[in-house]
Amino acid sequence: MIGALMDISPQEKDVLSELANIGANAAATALAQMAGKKVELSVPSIQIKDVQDVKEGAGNLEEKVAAVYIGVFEKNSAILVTFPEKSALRLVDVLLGKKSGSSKEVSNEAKSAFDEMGNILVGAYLAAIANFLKTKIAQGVPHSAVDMSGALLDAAIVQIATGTNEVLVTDADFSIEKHVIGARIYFLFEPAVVRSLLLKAKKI
Amino acid sequence: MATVVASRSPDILIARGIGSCLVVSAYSKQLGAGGMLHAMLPKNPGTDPAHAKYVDSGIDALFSTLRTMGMPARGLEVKMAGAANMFPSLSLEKKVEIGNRNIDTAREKFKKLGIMLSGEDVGGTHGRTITLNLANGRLEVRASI
Repeated sequence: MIGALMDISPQEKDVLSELANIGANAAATALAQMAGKKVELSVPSIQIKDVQDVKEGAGNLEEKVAAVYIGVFEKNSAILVTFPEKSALRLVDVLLGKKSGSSKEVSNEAKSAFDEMGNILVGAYLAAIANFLKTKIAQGVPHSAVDMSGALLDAAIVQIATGTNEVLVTDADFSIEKHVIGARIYFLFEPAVVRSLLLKAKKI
Repeated sequence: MATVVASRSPDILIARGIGSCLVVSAYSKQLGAGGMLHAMLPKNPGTDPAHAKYVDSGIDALFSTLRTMGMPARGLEVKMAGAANMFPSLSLEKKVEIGNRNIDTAREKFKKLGIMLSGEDVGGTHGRTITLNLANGRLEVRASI
């Protein structure tokens, strides 16, 4: 095996879940401000998956999703967020100030709106975690695509697969009025990056 | 991902939602049997025992699996599919396109082994679902609608 394992204890897993929760809350707040509406949030705990098995537990691999990939830290790490097509269109409606359900397909206008949304939400997510840990998390430019969930997932994973054999996966469901926007978040972090986050969390 | 699977007719081998990964299929018409490799990265650095994770060592693993099932590499119908560039702007930023490198590595390997491909559908910027029907050797590739 070339990539190292994260070797995360149950307590450390709770800490990571807590960080994911802090991030998702900040993303929900950012979304509420843009939508001008109340946003409710549900976040399950974080899961640690073997790189080779991520796709097996990912649900329908042929489902059309919109994904945004953002490199983080100086190291070879990234965050991938996928939204089912419907959720992505709702995000676009929020950003463009349209009535929910107006956008029917991911057009060019919608694609740049989606990029922007991804950037804002991931930015808020990471900034809240960085703030909590009293550190900085450098963030790259967003790269987005719409296609089969499995195809986008494997293309993102290979970017970091030489550095780690495990990835962290969590969901965040944002409810605006009756609409649910589901996001799946993959932390494609090198074990050293996860270690350093955990070390910082210990000092809090 | 990172697997070699093999079976016989009437089974169907399916790899769903393939992005930059490369799928290599090999089929024996005589035996109505064959296998599929689903590799993620181009070259094994030589230390990773997870052979099927890489195109080069994975192709060896596929042929060795089929050999133990009575199918020597020569005489097999070999095809490949997948290896797309799913995030083109990311490949530009990183100056590396893994899908493309997977394709190049496979071509090199086939050349070295003296294997001619009977078919391929690789590259592009779209995901694929790839199906090998062991009853007739058809390799079907479906893109996202």
